[in-house]
Amino acid sequence: MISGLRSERDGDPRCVPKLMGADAELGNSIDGLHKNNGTGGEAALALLREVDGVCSIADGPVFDSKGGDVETGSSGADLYNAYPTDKANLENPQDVGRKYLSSNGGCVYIDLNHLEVCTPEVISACDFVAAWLAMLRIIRDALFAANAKCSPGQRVVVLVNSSDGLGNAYGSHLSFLVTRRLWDDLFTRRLYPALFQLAAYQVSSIVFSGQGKVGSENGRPDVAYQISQRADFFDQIVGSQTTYKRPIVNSRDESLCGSAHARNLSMGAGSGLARLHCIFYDSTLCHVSTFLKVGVMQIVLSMLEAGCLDISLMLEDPVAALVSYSHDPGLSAKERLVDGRNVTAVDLQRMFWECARSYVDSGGCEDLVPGAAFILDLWGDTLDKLAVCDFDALAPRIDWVLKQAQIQRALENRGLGWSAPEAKHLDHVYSSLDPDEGMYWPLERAGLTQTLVEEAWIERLKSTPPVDTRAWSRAMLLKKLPRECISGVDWDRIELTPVDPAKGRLILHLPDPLGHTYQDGLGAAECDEETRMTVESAGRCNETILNRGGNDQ
Amino acid sequence: MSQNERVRPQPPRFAGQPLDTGGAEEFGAVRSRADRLLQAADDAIARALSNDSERFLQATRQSGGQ
Repeated sequence: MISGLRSERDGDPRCVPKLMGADAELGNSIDGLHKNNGTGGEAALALLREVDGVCSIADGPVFDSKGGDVETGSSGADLYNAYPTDKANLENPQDVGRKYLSSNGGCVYIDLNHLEVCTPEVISACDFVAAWLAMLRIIRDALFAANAKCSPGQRVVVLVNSSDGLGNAYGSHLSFLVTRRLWDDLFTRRLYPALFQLAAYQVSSIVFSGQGKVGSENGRPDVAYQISQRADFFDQIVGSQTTYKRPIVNSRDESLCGSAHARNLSMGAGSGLARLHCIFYDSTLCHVSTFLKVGVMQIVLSMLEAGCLDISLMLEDPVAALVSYSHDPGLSAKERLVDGRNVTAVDLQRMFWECARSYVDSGGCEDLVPGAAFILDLWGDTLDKLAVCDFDALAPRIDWVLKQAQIQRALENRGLGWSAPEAKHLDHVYSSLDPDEGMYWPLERAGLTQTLVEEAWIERLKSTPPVDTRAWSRAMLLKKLPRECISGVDWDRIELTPVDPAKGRLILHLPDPLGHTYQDGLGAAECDEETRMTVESAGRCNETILNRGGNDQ
Repeated sequence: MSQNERVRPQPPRFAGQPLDTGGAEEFGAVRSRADRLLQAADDAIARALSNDSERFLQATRQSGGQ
């Protein structure tokens, strides 16, 4: 049985709590090191080495600060040429050197020369904000450590953004737990209306989720400033690809809920579950932007599972509408719905909000979306302010508004225009992870941005996993098991080195993302007796690991 | 604090300051806060623009990602 199901029909869940996580590629480079193709790989490696974690595959490269397999970028070593070629995980440049963190259950790795950070799984939007900011702080610590080792005249730069202004985009992806039934509706059974409703929601949601960007890219029309970093890079409404002709709604089918989840299989925990992999959004720093980006999506996905969205909430041309809305920071651009009405992005969001209000008020989100009423209130209030372009009130909440105001002021003070390189420079520097460089951080330190989660909670999620998802068991097992005993880690499993290799692989299964929690205890990990005995014999000081309840940790 | 207490859930997790969602704030107060908001980043902006912007933009060139 899957944890937290609302109800079942024909053995399949009809709706599930909207557990979620993020996997975000960062903009990374080494200032002072010159290479024709950029220095992203070297920077990513220098950062990865400074993050403590457990390698995801057996015999993988260590990549740690105590002695990695290759030299850092400051030596000029080429990242991929320097890798040993017989290591399986190096054959995929989208997944290099993956480490899972025993601190909080998240992970880091290198994806196409970008350091990619993955939050642990969380259930509430507030926890997401805290987990996201906690992961950034872990990378900031790595940044400090890497820079302490840099050659004179060089420094690693990390930008929490989604495009470099030179035509290269990189993703800030979100994952949401959904029912297999909804996934099938979206991509194979009922594209109309579910897929088009989701696309319309996402496209119009940039008004509170965009980070803002100076200029345009990817052949899109010139613009001084636009709302979304990613909007110029979407060419299709749906598809499974992520690096070219990017789709607004991504159909990658990889649930990470164990083998039983897969389509056409309906046995055991995890059956009937799927993961919606959303590649649409920007990385954001403001608490409110980040909170609404995931919290409202939780509500909308719940409504899609329940079939409660107004049938008219579909755009005639979502791809064109996305560029139109994003290139219009004055929020007056109108796009046509399938019923013929022309609406602004804020109008369209208000229509979704009206549907959501009825749904939440009737208890539709109960047990599925923590804090749904608060999400709804904050979403509605933000839309009220957007509707009248009250940018003074929105700047403490929304990244694209805050960034635009800062750059505008800087340009005016210096008599510069939006096409000046200084404008793009400030665009990048806004999200620099270096607290002395990034334009966002002094505002947060001064208490001038609107915060939603306590400082202590962010710090806590740097070193402690969320207690209400399987991230808790993953982190605790990684903490307790000797590293030499672990031969592999993935989101839904931990693989152990067998004492007798002839007996095959020993696996601790964590298939239920909503299970294996603090309350469940580590004994909830699923494994055969051989694996259980191996874990117990590997326990330090004869400590019993799997048979002990969670409350004894 | 015992180990048991350390890992227990600790709600509420909201920041101490009450969230203003009512929109009732005086215009002058909003304007004043907005001014302070912009001024707070002045040092960071000045530091950034004391460097060569074109060189910085080339140095931060990225590979295409997902």
